[in-house]
Amino acid sequence: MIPHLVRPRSVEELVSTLAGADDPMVVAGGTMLMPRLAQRTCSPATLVALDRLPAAAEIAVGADGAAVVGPLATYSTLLRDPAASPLLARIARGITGGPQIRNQGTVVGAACFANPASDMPAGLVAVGATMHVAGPDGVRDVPAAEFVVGPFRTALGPRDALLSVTVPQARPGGYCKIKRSESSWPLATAAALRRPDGSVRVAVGGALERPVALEIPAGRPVDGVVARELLEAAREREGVAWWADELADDRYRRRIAPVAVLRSVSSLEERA
Amino acid sequence: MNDSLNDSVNGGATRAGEMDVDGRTVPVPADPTESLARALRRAGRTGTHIGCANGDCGACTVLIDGEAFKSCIVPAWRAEQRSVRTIQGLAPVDGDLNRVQQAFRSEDGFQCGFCLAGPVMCLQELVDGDPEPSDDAVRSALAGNLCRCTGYQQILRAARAAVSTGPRPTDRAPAGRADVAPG
Repeated sequence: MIPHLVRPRSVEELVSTLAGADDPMVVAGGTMLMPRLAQRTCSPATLVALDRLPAAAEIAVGADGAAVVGPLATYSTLLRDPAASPLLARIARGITGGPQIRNQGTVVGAACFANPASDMPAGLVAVGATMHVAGPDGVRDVPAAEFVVGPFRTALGPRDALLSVTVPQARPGGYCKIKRSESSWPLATAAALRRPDGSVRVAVGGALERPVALEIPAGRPVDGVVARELLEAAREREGVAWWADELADDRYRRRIAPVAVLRSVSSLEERA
Repeated sequence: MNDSLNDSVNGGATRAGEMDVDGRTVPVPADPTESLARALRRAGRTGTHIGCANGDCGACTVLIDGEAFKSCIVPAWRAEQRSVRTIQGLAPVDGDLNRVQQAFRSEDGFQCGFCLAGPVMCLQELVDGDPEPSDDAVRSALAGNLCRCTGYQQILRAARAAVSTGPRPTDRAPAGRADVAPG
């Protein structure tokens, strides 16, 4: 069956489309969805595109310094305006797939796809982003840390769409990504952000079923042992399992994730 | 080969349901799951190759409004009323090669040629934005392309030649207006 394509031009039209559509599926950049649609491994009755929403492809920085990332804002958009969010721009620079994917892949799409072997969901947790979700009851906010609930699963309902993401005022971050080759998905990533009080939040991605954040108190020295202890404590507290796929098993990811944490904190020091 | 392309040059303007492909008007397919790569090939732009159909290899790379995309994972409707430039639109069929093409030819920058649109179109995007890019920028521009002949060293050599030779006369042809028969 050939799906029906709808490209709403307003949030109201988007909400009513999702509410009334038969079996809707929402598409942002389409890097992950298009191959599956072409192969007919997913076949929605209605395809709802976010590309014609107002300012869809923009990142708007408000008076408070917070950046609102539109649903079609790509990794390249982040790179053109790195001051809007230095940490997310740093992640964008290392996205696998070259300039072609950076021109097409979106922050919103990466969050919704919720691939455990992806780094943007953890980056959004690190910066403390807020996800703006449009659904049958209007628009609601979901903290990034509560948005991804499991592998390829989010807090979105079947008639919800992620409208935009607000990233609090930009601060430089530390980052480390471990992957086997340029064309590989990451095996473990860590995004670190220092708070004004000197404490550091590190969000680990690529290595667990969903992003996990750990806190490093101000002034506490971190070595490999401490990084491992803090990460295991946070992981157990949140009940999140290590991720395994064809690139690396869970034991390997468990060994290298603390290394990523340590290196992200070190790169934070380099920038200080 | 180009029978399905509209006979008339569109002057850059397209209407709803249409896209500009190398200066000519092509209808957007009715099936919203059809990729831009497939639509381009059906319109005779077979220099745009489909390798992986998964966004990995880059052989289907085209420029949409000047930005490089892997057209196998771009829905064709995303190009509606936009300008698509394929590897066949870089220079006139009977004219000189452009800067990037000439460098790949001079430096033997390809073996079987299947992946060629990937590195060439990515470098075109790069030099269109920055005529004298750094070596890091050149390597980064090429990073999304796979060559199964493993001709990476030759590709890199050709790419470095392309950025060091500077623009050629054919590079001044406006984007998307090349490969159009006179009259």
